[in-house]
Amino acid sequence: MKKVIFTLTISLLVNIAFTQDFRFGKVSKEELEEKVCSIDSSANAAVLYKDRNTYYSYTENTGWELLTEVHERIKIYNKEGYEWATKKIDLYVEDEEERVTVKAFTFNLEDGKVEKEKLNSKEIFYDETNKYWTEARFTMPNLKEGCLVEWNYTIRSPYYWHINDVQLQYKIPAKKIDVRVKVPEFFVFKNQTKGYIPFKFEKKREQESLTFLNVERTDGSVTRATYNQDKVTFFVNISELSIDNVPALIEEPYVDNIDNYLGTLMYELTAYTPKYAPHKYFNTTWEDVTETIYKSSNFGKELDVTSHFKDDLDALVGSDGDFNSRIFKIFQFVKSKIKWDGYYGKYTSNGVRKAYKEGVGNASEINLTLISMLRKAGLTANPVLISTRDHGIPMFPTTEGFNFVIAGIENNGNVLLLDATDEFSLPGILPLRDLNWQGRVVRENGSSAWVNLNGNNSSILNSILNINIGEEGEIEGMSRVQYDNLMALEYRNKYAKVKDEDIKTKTEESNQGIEISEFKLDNKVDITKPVIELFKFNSEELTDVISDKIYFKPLFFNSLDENPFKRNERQFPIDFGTPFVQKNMVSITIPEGYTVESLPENIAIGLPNKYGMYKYEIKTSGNKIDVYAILQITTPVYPTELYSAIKEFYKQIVSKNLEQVVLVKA
Amino acid sequence: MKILKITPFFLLFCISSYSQKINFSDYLISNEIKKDANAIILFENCDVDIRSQRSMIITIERAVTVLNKMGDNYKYVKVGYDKNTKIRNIETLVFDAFGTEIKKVKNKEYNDVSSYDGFSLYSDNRLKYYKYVPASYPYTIYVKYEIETVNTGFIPKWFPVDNYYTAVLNSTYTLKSPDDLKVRVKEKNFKGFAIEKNVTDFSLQYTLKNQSAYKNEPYSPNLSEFTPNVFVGLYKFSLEGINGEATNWEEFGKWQYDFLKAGNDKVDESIALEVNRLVEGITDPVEKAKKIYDYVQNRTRYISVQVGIGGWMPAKADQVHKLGYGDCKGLTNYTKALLDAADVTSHYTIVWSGNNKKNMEKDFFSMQGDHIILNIPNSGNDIWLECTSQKMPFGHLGNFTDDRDVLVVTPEGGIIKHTKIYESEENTQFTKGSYEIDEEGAITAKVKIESKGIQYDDDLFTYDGKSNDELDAEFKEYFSNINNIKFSKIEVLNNKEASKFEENLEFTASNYVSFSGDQMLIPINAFSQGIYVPKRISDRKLPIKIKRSYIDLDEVEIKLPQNYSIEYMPETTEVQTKFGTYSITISKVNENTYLYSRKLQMNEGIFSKEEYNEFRDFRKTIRKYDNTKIVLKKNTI
Repeated sequence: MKKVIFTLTISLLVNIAFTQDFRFGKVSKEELEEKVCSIDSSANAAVLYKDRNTYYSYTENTGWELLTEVHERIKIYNKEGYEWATKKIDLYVEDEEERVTVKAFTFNLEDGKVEKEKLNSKEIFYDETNKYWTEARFTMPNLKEGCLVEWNYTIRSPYYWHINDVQLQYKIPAKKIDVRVKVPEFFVFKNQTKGYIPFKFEKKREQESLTFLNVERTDGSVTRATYNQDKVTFFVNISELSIDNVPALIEEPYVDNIDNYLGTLMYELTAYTPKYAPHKYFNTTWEDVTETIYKSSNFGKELDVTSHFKDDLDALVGSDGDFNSRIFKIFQFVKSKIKWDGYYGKYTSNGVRKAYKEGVGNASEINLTLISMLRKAGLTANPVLISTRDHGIPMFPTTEGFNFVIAGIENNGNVLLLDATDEFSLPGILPLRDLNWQGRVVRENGSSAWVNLNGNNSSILNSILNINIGEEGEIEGMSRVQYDNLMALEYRNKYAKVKDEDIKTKTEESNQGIEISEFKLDNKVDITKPVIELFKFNSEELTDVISDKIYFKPLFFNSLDENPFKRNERQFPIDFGTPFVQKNMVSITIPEGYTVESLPENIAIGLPNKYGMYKYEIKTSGNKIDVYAILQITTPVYPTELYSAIKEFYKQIVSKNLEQVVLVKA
Repeated sequence: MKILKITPFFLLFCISSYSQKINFSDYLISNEIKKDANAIILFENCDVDIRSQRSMIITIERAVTVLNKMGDNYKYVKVGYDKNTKIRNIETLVFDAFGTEIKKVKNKEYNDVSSYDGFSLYSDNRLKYYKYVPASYPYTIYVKYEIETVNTGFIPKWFPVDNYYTAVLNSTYTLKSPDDLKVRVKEKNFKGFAIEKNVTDFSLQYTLKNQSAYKNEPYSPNLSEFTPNVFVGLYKFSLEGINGEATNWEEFGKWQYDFLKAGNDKVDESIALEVNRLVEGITDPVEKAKKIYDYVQNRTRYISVQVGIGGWMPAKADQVHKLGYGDCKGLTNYTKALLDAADVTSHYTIVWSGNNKKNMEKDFFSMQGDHIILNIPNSGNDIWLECTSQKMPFGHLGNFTDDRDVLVVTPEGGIIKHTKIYESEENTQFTKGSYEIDEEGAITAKVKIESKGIQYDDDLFTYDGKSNDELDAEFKEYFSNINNIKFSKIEVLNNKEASKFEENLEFTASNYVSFSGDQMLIPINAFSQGIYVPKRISDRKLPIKIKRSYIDLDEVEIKLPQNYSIEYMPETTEVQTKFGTYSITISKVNENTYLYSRKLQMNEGIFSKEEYNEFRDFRKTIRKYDNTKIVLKKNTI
């Protein structure tokens, strides 16, 4: 069977080989002589060719095995590209081991001749990372600028139901990528893709056959076995794709997770349909996915485990008839009862009962406990499956699409979301990590639906500054900042465990030039109220005194002095996390004997479609100047097309914030 | 010795009885010792039992009360091991604030992972760890384990105060050695610490009690420079089964030379021939060395592979030649082998690397250091080569290995030498350029920045080999005081020949100035902003340390817009302090053109804690002058 595949591969390749020879080891002088990548002159290295070939093999001893052959030819233009000569291959080794065989060469041009250097098998290291994973690592010998490295490795896996992701893009350009996946008809896989790399599948089927040696045993006083041969013919489904000139994936700041955009093709098994055994179907729709997860013993069944908390729950809610109060009590109770061990997961690991007893659990144990306690207390609480920000966006129905579970309470079409893994979260205020598009609520009756995770609760920051300017330009002032919703949650996660004295020092450091005399924090841990930060300060550095004039920025240290968007253009969406409102009010008393010579002008600007607005108002009366500035962003995520508008919007804000007030001695 | 013969079964019993005896209740800890502490080491006992030249058992027993989340680095129990170091009998218990046992860690709860450092291609070091998830604070984590090793060349040192914000109630170090193995020690920084000791030729006991916590203060020396440490060694020792004997650095260096060499520093005849062709006609050994260093830089790269012998043995020179890569040991040894082939004398040199200028202990020989460089004696004018870099100029060390005591391993024995000290005149950044402001307030600028010495290092790592896109982002960050920058030219050059890094930049930026009515405010210092003023500290405990001297020099021609007249032009200023000097001068070139020069010199040194406010004031003054603005007024027609 293998031979057939091999010749087939060769004949396919030979057809296109008149331009370039992609066969392993057939490196040309022209490739070695190339000084700059033809599709991206800034590239330090480029993938000239990648071939990925996945197929099945059956032997009677081992059963089905999945083989994945990867051939990569990489051109290295300069020393900065040397890192691409190091390869790491992950192997799953928990019960049965995945194994890999590697063949690799470095090619250099020496005196006009192609010289090759083999990778010695002693130079391949197997790092036993932990009990689940081993990483095979090697780096190629004898690198010179302009060299080529080439390897061909085959992973032999007993985990035949799991096809590794196919990488269709690199952080360097790739000139040609061929992929071939051959799956016997007994296995049905579904695909999903990530990133912006377009491709088209070519699909066909071929007939193959397997010969089995059947053994039948008859038990009696003597066990006898009869042998006979069975031949099974079946179809193999082949999908092929070929793409050319894939651009490098460039990292940019303010991207939620760059790997969300790396061109990747993923596989998930949806059905197993052997000829002589019952068929099994997996997930093809979101309903199937949720059902599969719900039915799993370490998910849905865990919601029925309730006896261990019955007494605690009775004592906690008692006869409290108010649902909101019940929700809050239970939410706070679960947070303090089970501490999060930092592990994500939609499935329980040691089980809810044990987590409850030991006071430690993963995300699933904590939030499933929360859900079942809420249910017992008479609320319509359900699990909401989500994909956290660092896990990517769940675009296609696969169980792998979700990696976390939170709680949702449905009431008249509204869903109140709760995540008890975060000490400072509130009902309806989730930590940033959870705010990633949509989650899927799974109801007790088995139905499921999408829930928007970003919610409508804007982060809020309200700042009030009272400033007294002395005759030498010295300043005494008072600052009051109120943090609400996500801003409060993040402030608490950063500072709740820090001594006030140290927060004070940090505040001084981040607003260079002020010295704080009194510092007070209200509601540092009382999550029902906004965080209020109050401090008195003085400074000799917030104004410039030049002859008989005093200059200062009227928002002082609350000015936005730097545009966070510096890049000329951008490829990926701009992600603020949540909508937000930031209000700055400043009340300035000017020194006696001075008058206002000039003030910045008021402005009000906006982003298209009411996506955001900025308003700046300044007025003077008597010896007072009052400033009111508000920045509002109404949508958490903006498409790339809006980048230049957002950059310009911030440019105008910065420019306005830098404008100075001038006082002059009368 | 007797204690260690007990069976593991008894040991378990021993531990549980111990923890019952000790009261782990938080209420017994005085509030005084809790000041500035996030964690308190209730006790830490390190017991070293040297059984023979080739066998040593180390027993660690420790109980730490973690007071708050900031002390949570103690929630980990981490024990490293490798094939010659075995962990035995690890036991972890957790107690709550009342001293009640709340967790006994089961064997399967420890993770066994490779201790991958993130940059090595491979390391055979492994790590056993357990992470406790705190349910409330305070909690106390108790651990006891034994390590058995053959390497008596590495005896653990006593360093009881090794973390900031951690108080120590009791830390004890004990050691016993057989009659034929005399122990050597070196004690440092004992003054002012409550230490009890009992030292003989064959046994040690040190105890530190009731030590309150240190805060981490900016510009302070390292903990190891002012808290107690004891170095311990033997005259007869063993490393990976190879015995050694020494009484001083010279003999120890000789042993290391023989041990490390083991035929590894010879290259094949054909390679030797190639090297000789390369230096043909050159007689000056330094010129030869330059050629060979260049050759090594061109055909090798740095790849770390840490296998066996505690990662001490260099790969064979031939092997490095063939593979074209190696770690610091392999590449240094390879360079030495090539120099040997060209009759240039050089020596393998062991050093503590890093920005902190850590010395090899001059008067205490032992296995020390974490990095290798090459020494060329050059008849008294030492040349030092960093062989892991493909980019550094010949003889350049940088802040990774400058100004410190190192061990030079020669065939005759070890010698302690001091590496190059970079004086302020050698650590320079020279910014020369011009800018023009138009009537709209936009800036058009041209600037050349040249960095030398330690300042060269920073620029090399930040800029060299970066793509245009990356450089665009880097320089926008560098000039973050200027918004809306558009670069029309970004050129960077690693000028190895002249040992300097050069940057040539041209850009424009709209809205550089700010307007107030008919006035235009121009920040005069466009190119060298961002001086850092360290935080205010009310009751500083530690002296101030400025690690290196340097000079920043700016010369900028400023062209002002037409139709404006000068309302205010900053004045020439000079500030002189013991920490350094700062000066700006402004001179008129012609009607619209001024020359702005700025010089900042910082002086290396240690200053008393009382001088901290003065130091801050100096930095604040610099910030103030760096922020001065030229004020122009629009001419009324």
